[in-house]
Amino acid sequence: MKLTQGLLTLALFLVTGSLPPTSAWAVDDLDLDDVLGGFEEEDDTPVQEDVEPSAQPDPERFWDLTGSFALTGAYGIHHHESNTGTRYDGLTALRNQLSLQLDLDLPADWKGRVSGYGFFDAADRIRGRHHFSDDVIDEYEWDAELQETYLQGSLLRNLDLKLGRQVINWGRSDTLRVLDVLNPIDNRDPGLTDLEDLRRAVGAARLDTYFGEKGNWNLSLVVIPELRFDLNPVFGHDFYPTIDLSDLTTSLEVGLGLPAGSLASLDAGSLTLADRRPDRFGERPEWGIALGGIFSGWDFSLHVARYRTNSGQVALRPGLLSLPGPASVTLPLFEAELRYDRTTLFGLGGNYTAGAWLFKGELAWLDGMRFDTLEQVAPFVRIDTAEKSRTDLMLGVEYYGFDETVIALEVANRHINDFESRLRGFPNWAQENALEIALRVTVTLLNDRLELTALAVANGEKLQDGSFVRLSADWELFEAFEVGAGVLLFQSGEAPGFGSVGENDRLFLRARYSF
Amino acid sequence: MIGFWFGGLLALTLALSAVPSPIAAAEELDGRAIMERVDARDDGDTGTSDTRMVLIDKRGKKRERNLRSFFKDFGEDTHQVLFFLSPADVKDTGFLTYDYDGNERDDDQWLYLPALQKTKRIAGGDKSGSFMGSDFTYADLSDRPLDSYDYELMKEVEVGGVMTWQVEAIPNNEKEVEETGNSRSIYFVRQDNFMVVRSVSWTEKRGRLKYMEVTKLEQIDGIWTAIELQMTTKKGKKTLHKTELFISKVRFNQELGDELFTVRGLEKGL
Repeated sequence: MKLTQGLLTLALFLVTGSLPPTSAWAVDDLDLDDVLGGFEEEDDTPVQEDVEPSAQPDPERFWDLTGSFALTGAYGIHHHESNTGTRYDGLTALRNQLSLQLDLDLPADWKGRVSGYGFFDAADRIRGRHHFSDDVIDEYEWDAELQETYLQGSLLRNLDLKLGRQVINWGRSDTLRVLDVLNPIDNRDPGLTDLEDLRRAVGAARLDTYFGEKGNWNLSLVVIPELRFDLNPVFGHDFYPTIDLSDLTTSLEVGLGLPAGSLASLDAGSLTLADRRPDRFGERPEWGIALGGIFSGWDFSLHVARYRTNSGQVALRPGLLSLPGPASVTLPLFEAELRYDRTTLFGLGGNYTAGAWLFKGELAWLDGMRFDTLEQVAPFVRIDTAEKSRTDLMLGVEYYGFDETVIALEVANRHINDFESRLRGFPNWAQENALEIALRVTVTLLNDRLELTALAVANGEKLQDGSFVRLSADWELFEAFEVGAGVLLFQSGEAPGFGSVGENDRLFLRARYSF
Repeated sequence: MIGFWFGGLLALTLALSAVPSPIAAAEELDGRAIMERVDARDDGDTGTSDTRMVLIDKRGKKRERNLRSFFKDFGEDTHQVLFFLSPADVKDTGFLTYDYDGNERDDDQWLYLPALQKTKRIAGGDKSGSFMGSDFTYADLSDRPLDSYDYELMKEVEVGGVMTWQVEAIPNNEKEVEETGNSRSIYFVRQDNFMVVRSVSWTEKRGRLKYMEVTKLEQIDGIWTAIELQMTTKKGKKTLHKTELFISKVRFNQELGDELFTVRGLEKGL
């Protein structure tokens, strides 16, 4: 229902953004002399004070400091609780964030950058910190991070080096990422986080060489010694996924000879989910190679990469599991952990333009994904690990033909090759095919003062596996100061992360000043 | 046809200029011949400039954009790149265009978004959209093919104390109307130097009129260049919005490397 409402609203954007005004076409009432007389007419625009010319960077100065200060508030619309009983209706976020960026002009045309952000969220203090889990306080109350921090320059005429923390943008998609695997993302506030704040920079060395008659070919090699991972909602947050353990409890009851229903109270809290992240600099670095060509009307690129998955996969290993119930016994069964598989990617992507249309696509084959299943419980635990490959495909189209409007549609499918039905249950909840659709409409009005955006993302071929719609309006109140408001609507489903989000709808407000 | 070129809007100013040609003024020229002279001027093989763009809404409220731009001819085609210098929320945004001669090929365009550290290819076929919220469209800033228009010399008119030809230009194919958003234009071309000093265009949608006027000329490196101009959007007689351009640091025929006009150059920035 919410998705339908959201899509109808999106369609309304489309229609109203491209409609001509309903009033009379005034120009038809003017004859040629009237029209040409428009040059001599007195300007009826009220005279306001001249804008002071913007301060230009001193050409003698080798540094430039820019940044922004933003205030974001979010309000949960529905009465609902997280899995720790924390209420998430009402004020859910009141975040002040300061972002700074220092750019340096260095000798021999080299450049440097140091950037970062820090935020403090007062929502938990206003509502009472005791309401929130320790994990939520740790992750959401405040944070500071060094973002892009690098040196960049040319070693030779056609050989560039970029060394340090950076964002490596692979792929063409804006919403459904297939090739864009090298940078993890900050997904702590699903749907609320702007795209520009999504990617987390990683420490890397990147070499780019350019060749071809027009310099339109590019070979890029990137080595990433710093391992960083996605930031996701934590236990106790209303976006922390609800885990369906019904098939696990059934397996345990049958395997241990317990009465049916005796383990019904087994919940996510019983599974101590250890996060087995590799050390940041402790092991073999990730790496990637890309070869691309840019031509008139089209471009393409080939990619190879070896990297750790950015989000952990739930894995099992022999260990102790506490079972609920009258006996409340701990048995040597298994423990759950988050594992970050080392994955190989082969991929290709491309763009093609025709008139007001842009067509884009990405295809990736990923190998090295491991899925654990609990094959036996008694007399001894047997955990089986299946290694699978996956084929991801994204096709997209963007249309620029409506006035001041861009419509973008992306459809992606992630197909697990040689799928087995046992992967559907605990702890993988995998699907053979995971279809995702994203539709984004952006309309700019009033000479770019006002931007309206509608984004709908849905999972499943019948859109039944979870979705969200985000509607927002951003208004340039005065130069470099923007205010915005919007609403996020969620629909629950079986897709990862959408298990119990149907009540997580949010209203949000934001203000940002750039300097 | 107005050869407005993109490139810090420098090309716009060049499109309005030509080497003075007193002999031409004495010839019997029709509309097409006049626009051919406008199009055939020497405007340099490369150019750089800084542009201050002031956007004024109907309440008189002003916003400002500053940008630096470059263009270079590659045979009959023109490559142009510009970078925004201010305000802070658009600083370092870059735009690269390959403007191909004729209308057989759509222009190639890329937009560099510094916040995303990403270069995005965009469809260049539809140029009727506003350039960065200004009253100039992408069509105003690109080279339009002469053959896509029918021209008629209407009369001779004095503008600012100088005799001009008043030439009407009407697109002769639907594609040109769709691409530019204009259904008709009238240009005022100075008879002494083939500069377009005024124009008015009828927009196909929304029934608006766009008035362009050059308010200051200067001769730079031997080339007459419009360094102050404005574009006003009106609905009937009512002004909806105005954009004023102030162009400075104009240089022609400097050595500009090809690599500046590539995606690599776009991402590298200034």
